[in-house]
This record gives sequence, C-alpha cells and structure tokens, in this order.
Amino acid sequence: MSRDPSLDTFVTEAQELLGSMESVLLLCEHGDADAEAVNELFRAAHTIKGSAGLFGLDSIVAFTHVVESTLDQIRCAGTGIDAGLAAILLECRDHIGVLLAAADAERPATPDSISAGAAVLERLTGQAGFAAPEHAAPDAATVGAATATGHPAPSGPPADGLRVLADSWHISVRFDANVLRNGMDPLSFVRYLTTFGAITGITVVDDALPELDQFDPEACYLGFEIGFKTDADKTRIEAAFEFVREDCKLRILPPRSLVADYVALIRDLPEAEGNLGSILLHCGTLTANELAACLQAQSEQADGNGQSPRLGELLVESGIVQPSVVAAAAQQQTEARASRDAKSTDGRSIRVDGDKLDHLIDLIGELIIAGAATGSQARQAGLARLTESALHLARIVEEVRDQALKLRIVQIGATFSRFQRVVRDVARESGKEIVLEVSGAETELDKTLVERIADPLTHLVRNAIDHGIEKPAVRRSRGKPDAGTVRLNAYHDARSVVIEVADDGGGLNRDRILEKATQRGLVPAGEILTDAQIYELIFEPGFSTADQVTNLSGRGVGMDVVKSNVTALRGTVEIDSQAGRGTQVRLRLPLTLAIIDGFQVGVGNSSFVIPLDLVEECVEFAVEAAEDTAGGGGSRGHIMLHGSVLPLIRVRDMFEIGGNAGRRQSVVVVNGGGKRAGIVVDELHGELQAVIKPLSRLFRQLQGVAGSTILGSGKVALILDIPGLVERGQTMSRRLHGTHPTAQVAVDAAAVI
Amino acid sequence: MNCEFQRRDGILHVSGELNIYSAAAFRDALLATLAGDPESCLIDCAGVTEIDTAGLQFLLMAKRACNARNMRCEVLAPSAALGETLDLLDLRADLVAPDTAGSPAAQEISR
Repeated sequence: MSRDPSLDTFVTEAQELLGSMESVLLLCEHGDADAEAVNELFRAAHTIKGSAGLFGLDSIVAFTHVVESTLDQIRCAGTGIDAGLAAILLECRDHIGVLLAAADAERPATPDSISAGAAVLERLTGQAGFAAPEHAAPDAATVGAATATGHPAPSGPPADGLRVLADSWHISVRFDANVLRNGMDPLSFVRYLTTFGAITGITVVDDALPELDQFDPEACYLGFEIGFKTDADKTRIEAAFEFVREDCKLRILPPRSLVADYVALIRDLPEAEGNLGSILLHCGTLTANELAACLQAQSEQADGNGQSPRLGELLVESGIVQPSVVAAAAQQQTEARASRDAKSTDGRSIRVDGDKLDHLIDLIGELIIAGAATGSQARQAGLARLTESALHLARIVEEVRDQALKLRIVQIGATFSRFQRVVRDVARESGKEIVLEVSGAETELDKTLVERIADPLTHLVRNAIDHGIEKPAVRRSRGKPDAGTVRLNAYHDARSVVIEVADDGGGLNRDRILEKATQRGLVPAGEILTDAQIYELIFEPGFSTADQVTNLSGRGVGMDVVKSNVTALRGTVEIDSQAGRGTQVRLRLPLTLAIIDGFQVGVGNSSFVIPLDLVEECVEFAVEAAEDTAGGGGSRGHIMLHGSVLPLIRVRDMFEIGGNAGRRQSVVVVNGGGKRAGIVVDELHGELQAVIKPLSRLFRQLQGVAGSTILGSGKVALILDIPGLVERGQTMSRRLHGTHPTAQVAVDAAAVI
Repeated sequence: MNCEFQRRDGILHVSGELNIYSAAAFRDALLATLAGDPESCLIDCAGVTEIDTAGLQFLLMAKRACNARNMRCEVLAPSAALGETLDLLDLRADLVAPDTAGSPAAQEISR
C-alpha cells in the first residue's frame, strides 16, 4: 500500500501539538499554569485523536481518547493539574509520541509499548481521582483492555453501554460549496453506495443553507449523515467518495464503534446550532423510535408547564443515551461559536514543503552566479548603461536572496524550550535539582542549522547536568544554592550565531583531564599546557574520564561528535571553565549554510574566497619586513600589527601555487574562532556573493578549503576554511615548538616560529 | 432551457430537468411566487423528469424560506424520478404533502 502523503502532514502537526502539550505540562508541574492550560491540553489531545482517526490509527485514537476524556473531566471539575498529575500526563504524552513514531514508520505498536500504554492509563485514571462511576472509569478500562489485547472489548454487561448497538457503518459527509460547479453530483455518490450495501438511515443536513436572497443555486450547502449496512471494508466505502475526496469532509465510523467515537464525531460536526436529536439519531446512537418517544415526551412536558426541558436531559433520563454523548453534543454547540471566533486569527502562516524551499534557494544561487556573470560582461563591454542596469539587477537579486534565506530562518526559542523537558528528565534521573534559564530565545538562525544543532546541544546540556553540576549536598558544602542552574543563551555576533551552554557546577577537572590524556598518550608526559588547551582535549575522539561515565551521558554522542558536528556546519566550539564556579561551552555557527558574502582574493592565477564576516581589515604587506622574521620553510611568519603579533598564513605556499609573488602583496586580517591571523595574497578583488558548492567526495579530506564557488567569469574559486587554517597553523607550531604555559599572546607568538 | 416553471391557480408547476442548470431559474420563479405573498407555496413536481443535488437542494431551500415566512410549502405529486430520489434520501416526509401523491386532486394536476 502506498503511503498517504497527508500522513506526513498529520505526523508533523501531531508532533507540534505534542510539543505544545509538553510545554504546558511543564508549566503545570512548576505550578505556573493558568486556567487556559487544561483547555489547551484538551484541544491538543482532541485534535490528535480526531486526525489519527482519519488515518485509521486505532491505537493512537484509543489511547488518546482516554487522555482526552480525563482532561475533559478535569476541565469540567475545574480542579486544575497538579505536579503529580502533570508528570503522568507527560508520560501519556510521551506514549502518544511513541505510537505516533510507530505510525510514522508504518509498523504496528509492539506488545511492550501497548502494555506500557495501558499501565500509564491506569495510573492516569487513578491519579486524576475520577472514579466517575457512570461512564468514565469503565470507558477507560474498556479502551485499555481493547488496546492491550488488540481486540474490541468483549461485549459483557459493563461494556454494553459503551458500544453502540447499531451494526451498520456511519458515514458523515459534508460537501464543499464548489462541488456542483466542479461537475460532481453528491447524490450520485449516495446512489453508488446502494450498489454494495443498504442505507439504513439517512439525513440530509441542510443547516448550511443561507437566506433565500443569499442563496447561490450553483453552490452546494448539503451534507449527509448516513447509516450504512455492508460487508465491504472502509477502503471500499472511502473509494465511493474518491472523486470528491478533495471537495468534501468525510468521516466513517465502523459498526459497533465506541460511544467515544460517536462523541468525537459529534464534536467534529460543523453545524453550530445542529439539531441535537438528529445528530444523535444519525450517529446511530438512537433509533428513530427512541428519538420520537423522546420528542413526544418533550412536547407533553412543554404543554404541562410551558417550559421545555432540554432534549439532552430527556434522553438521559429515559436511559436512551449515555450522558457523555449528550455532554459532547451540547459542548459542540457552545464550542462551535468560540471556534468560529478563533478561526479569524488563523491563516497568518502557511506550511511549505522544505524541499521546495531548498529548490528555491538553489535557484537563487544560480541567479546570483548568472547575475555576477552579466555584471562582469557588462563591465568588460564597457557599456556604462548596461553596467548600471546590471548593478541594479544585482541589488535586487541580493534582496531576493536575503528574503529567500529569511524564509528558512526560525527562532531558536522552540528548540530551547524542548530542553525544559530534557533538563527535567535528566535532573530526576540524577537526583539533582536543576533550573534551566533561557535567554536569547528570539535569536534567529537557519532551520537546517537548528535541526543539526539539536543533538549536540542535547549532549552538552546532559553533560552539564550529569558531570557539571554537583549533588545538592556538595553544593551546600560549597556555599551554593541547592538547585543548580543551566543556562542556554543565544545571540548574534559578527554575522554568526553564538549558542552558549553554561552551568554553575564544579567546572572541569583540569588535572584529571590532563592525567587521562597523558595515560592515553594524547599528550607527552611532562608536557605543560594552558588551561584552554587542556579543555580542548575533551573533544578528542573517545576521550572520557572513566569515573564520570553514567548511563545518562555517554550513551548519546560524545564530545568529539559534538565538535565534528559543529565543525561540519562551519562552526567552532570554545570551552571555558572556572574550578568550582562552572563551565561554559560556546558554539559559534554561521547564519546560513547556502550563500555567504565573500571577499575575493587572487594568488597567481587562482582565486580564493574568504568569508567576509571573518575579515577584519586589509593591510599592505611589506615583503622586506616579513622576510626578516620568516623562519623554517618560509611558509609562515608574522608581522607586528597595531602593536601585537599577527601570525601569517601564506596561501601561495600552503597550496603550492607556482610563480613568484609580485612586489605588492596584501595581508587580509581575519578572525577565525577568536584567533586572528593574516592571510598573505597577491591581489584583492573585492566583495562578492558566493554560493557555496560542497566539494566532491574526492576532495573531502582537503584541509584548509571549506568549499567552492563559481565566479561571474565562470571560473571556480575555492572558499578558504579560515578557522581550520588558523587552527592548523597553531597546531603545527605547537607540535614543532612545544608550548608555553603562559597566556594566549605567548601561544600566538609561539605559532610564529 | 430544459425546465419550465409556470404559475397557475396558485401552484408553481415545474416540468423538465430540475438540476444545476435550471436551479437559478427555479429560484427566480420561487421569488416571483413569494412576491405575491400567497397563503402557501405549492410546487407541483409531477413533470420533473430528472433531479440532481442542486435541484433537490433548492426544494429544501424553498421549504426553509417558506417556513421562515410562516408559510406552508409542499411538493405536490412528485414524479417517479423525484420520488425515487426523495425516498433514497428519506426526504419524502419532509417535502411532500401527505396524501397528495395518490389523491384525486394530485392526479388531476399531474394530468
């Protein structure tokens, strides 16, 4: 069976709803929730259940139904959600997540997860304190049993009231206004149904008909509620409506559905002032005779005291319908109005397939290249007016680029708020009390980055709690508050995004790390390193100080993976630590992955691009001055700039480009990962927009090059990996020269050789 | 136009195909009828040879509009084609005047 594409939409939306449930529940757990919280949870559960039903995901429907009913009872009782209940509801939410993942992977739920779900539900109904003798408890039990066995609950006496007696399908369909204009005749679909089954009851729902003067004869206002007896399966019935699939809202309930399903259907019905009786009748809950008897009783009472009791009450009194069904129908009537008010504020955003967006960005990349080509042609042709219009074009293309990239830009807040949950869980497991402080949630960055940074961030946060923050007793003895603090912060800095994960724990154990590194041969014995260099060691593959490993950290990605993930995104990792005061890890990432503002330079016949945001300034290179200090192979050297030492990287030597440098070379001063260096080049060509083309697999191992781009002339230019180059220069110098345990300036000086 | 609307003796006679193509004309005819502020609105459907959703929908609309004006609205003598559709949708009791289908008056009208 091919996958229904709308299933993806459902999964995405359900995940979002689960996300909002989670944040609300976490608020509840802290006691910060307002009265709206229960409503929000209820709506989320209700929507998930309803949508899951459309896809026939019965396990989700059954489970979520119990959660929803419990929430509904909480809402009606007005008791609110305390921390204990919130914790269980969180587990329920997680279980829905598990079921959803299973549905997404199109595999059935495992027996383990089913029994886990039943257990959670049991605790939920227990904790919620709703013994609810009439219907809630047996309802939950029935659903639980049905879930656990995978079969409908046996129809013993307790279950009798829960399943509708009707053995026919119930089809509820509402047609869109334009269905007639599209040449479809809804009647023909009803007629077609009779070819493979019998209609046991039907109501034409005409509530949508407007006033006569507003009536459009060619618009369709009708819907049908149909009871249908057939041996065919759901797919067959759905297929009957295949031609109007896009133009109608179709809901199908199998025979002997749970009362709850009918309740859900009634809630979903669009009719605001729907006739309660007919809804019940045509949901198959009531037979026509039962309804007629009720109507009779109603009119008699009305005659007697001049006041007609609500139909719903009568139905319950006569024992004909379950109270929960009536409550749902009544609720639908009041909610219909509220939801209509809410709808007007929707529709401000649209959901777009990520692939389409990527394709757009690709095309804009091509547009930039083509625009640059046009510009350079115009300049060569020497046509002033053509040049002018090419410039104008380039400006617009630049704006288009910025806007298109913004489409991919999201706030990091949503990612940060996910960590509330991570922190809560890890804190519980480790028996520590943790407060998560978030700042800079409104900082924006590329969606791809957000996705790829989530795992490394999770690892860092787990690490901070597990290794960083001490046990409460230790904290007390150190004069710190019992509760440890983990801080997540994000901000923009020089066209890059910085994300910080900080804790107020014990800090990195400098000596311990050094000892381990020496044991493992990462550092020669007796070597003296700066603090920063020692902290860098924890990013070495497989590095772990054995006594720190717990089941929390160490099962996800390691610190070396954090680093390689970040590096793959053209980012850098810095780590900072004060003994007894805490650790800060700083991830510095580019704003976007696809297009950068670059600075084009030339060496010999080759062109190179340096990311513009890393360029600090350009100075003329006095060859004589540098040659005095150049040592070793002459590929490195340094100059004094503004009174400090600036190590040099000579592109000509690094890439072994032949030819001699001219008399006038230039130094581009760059700042890569907080360290400055000078790139020595022959010519400065100026700024350009570089569309980053990844290097092919063959060149993946190439060091010092981050990617390539195509220039307006059609030539290929390599994009220099500045942080890599700067770091490489330093590592090489350290290896060659040994290092000095003094300040950073001294390290830079050592890099000079 | 495959459908005709005539007003005779306070009854709106419909004949032909009552479908999306004639629904607008039906609407005009009904408005004209209602403009005369009659006591009741009787629609003779004996001549209806074919009906689709648009046509059926308009019958419901007419009923509703009349009810809103406190006016009786009945379909008289539904033809076989209309009758079959009304039965399919369980609408006969809602739209058709009781006892008209087989009554002598109806017979006469349908003639």
